[in-house]
Amino acid sequence: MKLGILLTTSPENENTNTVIAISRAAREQGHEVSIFLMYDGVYNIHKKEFAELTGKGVNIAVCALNAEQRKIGRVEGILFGSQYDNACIANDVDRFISFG
Amino acid sequence: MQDLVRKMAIELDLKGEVCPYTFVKTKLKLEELDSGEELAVTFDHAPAVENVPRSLKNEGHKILGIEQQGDHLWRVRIRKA
Repeated sequence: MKLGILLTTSPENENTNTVIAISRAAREQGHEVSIFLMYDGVYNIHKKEFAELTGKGVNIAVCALNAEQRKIGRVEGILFGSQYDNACIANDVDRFISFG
Repeated sequence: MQDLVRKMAIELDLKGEVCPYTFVKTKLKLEELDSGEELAVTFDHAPAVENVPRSLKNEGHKILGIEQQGDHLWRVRIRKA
């Protein structure tokens, strides 16, 4: 199964741990996972757990505009994309979950 | 010849626009063109210069060139699929 996740809240929100846990569990069961971070969700790219998720094969993209507005620097392995990428994820996956 | 091709391109000025309008307005303009026609879009938003061409390529269009014309000014030439 392909799972898409949209995360729009900053790391101190409980959504972050939920997204990390769901993504880990899904990957362990062999599912494809794509995450799109926007609004304050872009702050999550500095959490080491998100770097670990990319190492486990999770595709992570952020809204480049929201990152630029918040002075967030680039992180290797994470796509600095656009709403087009969010739309592609939503169109491509079997289940799409939004955390905001 | 290159100058002639440039003159034939349809111009779209998207200075002052940011994502997602940069992609949306480019896509809407391309819908007015026939296959094979060229569109030249001017951006002043750096993330758009990277993301709009990548998204358009994913849609099947051809990126003919990206030319930086100033500190924050780019012209992207697109051939409609």
